[in-house]
Amino acid sequence: MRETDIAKDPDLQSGGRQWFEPLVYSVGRPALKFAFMLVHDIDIAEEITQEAFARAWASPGTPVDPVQFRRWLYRIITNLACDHFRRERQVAAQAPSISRPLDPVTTAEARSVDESLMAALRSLSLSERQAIYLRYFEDQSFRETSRIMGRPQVTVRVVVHRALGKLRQRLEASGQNRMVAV
Amino acid sequence: MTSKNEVEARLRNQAQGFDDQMPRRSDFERRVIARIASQPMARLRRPTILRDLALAGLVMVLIASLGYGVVQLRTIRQATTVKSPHPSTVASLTPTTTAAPTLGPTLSYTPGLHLPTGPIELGSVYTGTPFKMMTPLRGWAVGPPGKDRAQVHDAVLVTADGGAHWRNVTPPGFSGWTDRTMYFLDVTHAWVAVTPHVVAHPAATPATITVFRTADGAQSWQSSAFQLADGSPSQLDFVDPQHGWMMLQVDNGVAVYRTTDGGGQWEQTAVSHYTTPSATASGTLPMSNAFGPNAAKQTACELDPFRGMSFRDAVTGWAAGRCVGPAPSPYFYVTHDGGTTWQAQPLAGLPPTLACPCDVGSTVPVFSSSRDAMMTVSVDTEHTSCQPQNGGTACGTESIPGIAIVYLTHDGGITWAPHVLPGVAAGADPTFIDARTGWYGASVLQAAPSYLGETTFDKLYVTHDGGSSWNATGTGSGFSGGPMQFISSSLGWALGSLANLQPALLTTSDGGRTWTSLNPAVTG
Repeated sequence: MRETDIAKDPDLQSGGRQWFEPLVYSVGRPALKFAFMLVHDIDIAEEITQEAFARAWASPGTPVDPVQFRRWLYRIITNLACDHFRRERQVAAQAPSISRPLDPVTTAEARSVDESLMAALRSLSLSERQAIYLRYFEDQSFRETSRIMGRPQVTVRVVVHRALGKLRQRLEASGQNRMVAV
Repeated sequence: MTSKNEVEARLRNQAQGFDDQMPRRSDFERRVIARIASQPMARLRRPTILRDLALAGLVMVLIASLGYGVVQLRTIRQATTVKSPHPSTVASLTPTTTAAPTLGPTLSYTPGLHLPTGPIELGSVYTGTPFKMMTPLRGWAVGPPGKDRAQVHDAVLVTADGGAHWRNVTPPGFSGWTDRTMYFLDVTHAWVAVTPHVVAHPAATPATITVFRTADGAQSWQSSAFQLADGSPSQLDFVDPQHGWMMLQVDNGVAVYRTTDGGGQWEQTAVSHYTTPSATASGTLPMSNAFGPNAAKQTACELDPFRGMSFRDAVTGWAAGRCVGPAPSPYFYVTHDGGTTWQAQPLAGLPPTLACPCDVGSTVPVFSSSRDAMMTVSVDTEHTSCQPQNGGTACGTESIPGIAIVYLTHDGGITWAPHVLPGVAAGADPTFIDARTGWYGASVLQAAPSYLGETTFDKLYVTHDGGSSWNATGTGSGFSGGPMQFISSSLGWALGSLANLQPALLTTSDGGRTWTSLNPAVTG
């Protein structure tokens, strides 16, 4: 079904969910993981993912083809993550202290097999995390990653390469710190 | 040394366990469906009159917001320069490690990051210079080290008692989760460049680079800001209070900016893009990346965005990085026009036949006078091993640290003489106070490594003949590796560790033979 066909579908026009529920079940978990990688907070990740689905549901331009729907949803999630960080920066700028209680991600990372890597991932920019996640965690091709990110393939390759370089630098830095600590 | 292939392998390994690491969310799908069930689908076509009214309202709101924003911006700019009525104190040159806290005059601004008084761990995972002492008593540092937004980290600190006590002088307005870099020129001049951490997405606003600068030892800070489509500051370098350079990581490489007014105005002088593998044209530096099945057969070079640039004066400087591949040479370029045009500078003294594929890295020169400088070249060999996995073959590449060579110049960088350093290249650089005297913390390959290429600290060496010979400073000195700095043949500092394995700021007053801990503390 093409995007424009949505308007003609009587089921959709009547507010039916038959076409949407299977997408929630097939894409929901990967989308939640994608959001979690971007914001590193499971509560915020779920809120963003729910909101993304809600916006996709509410938008007349949402594609129903699963592959296109996934790209569409991931881009909404990325925009929402951007909005989240922008709001967070504004709040941080107004509050001198940034100490906050441990969140679930701290607990999750404590269990992780590669804590320094996760910490290094958190130091990447949003687009770099997005590219790294799609490329290495979802094993997407550069072609698909570029479609999801809405950027040229060559740009995505460079973003991934640059992100790998940053990760290497961060991991080396944390390795040096470990040398100091032990 | 971590290779990109190793990073890739760790990412893929992490991806396999990511499901288990993520906190469980039962009934997530049902909650999504419940949420969308509570709202109708948007009407496919809204009446034109309503759309026009909504657009008109939006325009009104934008205009009002813009006006309010301008007023706020003026207020912020007026507040960023906070002058203290008190002059800076003059330090004596008597070294001491037990001085009482030297608070100095009360700051007339609230530091951008809040630090509790008491013990502090110095250092940074972002900034290459964790501390820099300018005199026996006075210096700058960054700390505590940290990586995530839930931690306060990389506050700017000053000491007036040799490193025992530190005051938090983080620029007002520098807070939150940012990419940042610092440079400390002398007792009074310092710069901090930051940008919000999340940039580079087309939907996001352009990155704002803010440069804080002080000319009075952080009694006051001024700031300037400019916007880029994308970029985060990774290195600052100044040769005097007016002339400086900033490297920024951008989407497809590195951009170099220059200031001639102490950091108020910045202009781009060069870029180093991955897509220009052999560029020497004006305004470009080469940077290449090998992709695809033949990547291992190609040489790829890149400028180090964090430590890749240093200038001797306002016109002459160097860019350094690393080259990987079958026949690499050091990435080492020189400019004589302030950073606009660059030429490769060949370095003699490398082994004629390297056990390649190799990873050859070079650092930028560090000058101890206008004529004397040192830089290092490290050679790692790349070892690739493959094993069956999931019905296919998975290969990983490890870097095995090889030789480290220090190059010294005594003619301002025209000629460079190589001297092989003790041990293997494990990331540490020597430090020199003049043309002849320098120190080097050498590492060796671990006898029983937990992974291929693992190194361990061996000895602290000193040279008194310009690097021709290196002698161990003694055993059981208390130094176990880490960044160090000397300001005379006897007085130095290091970020090392103690017997209880706690990281510490150490100091020596006998040229590195013995070290004592300073137990640094924040006093306010």
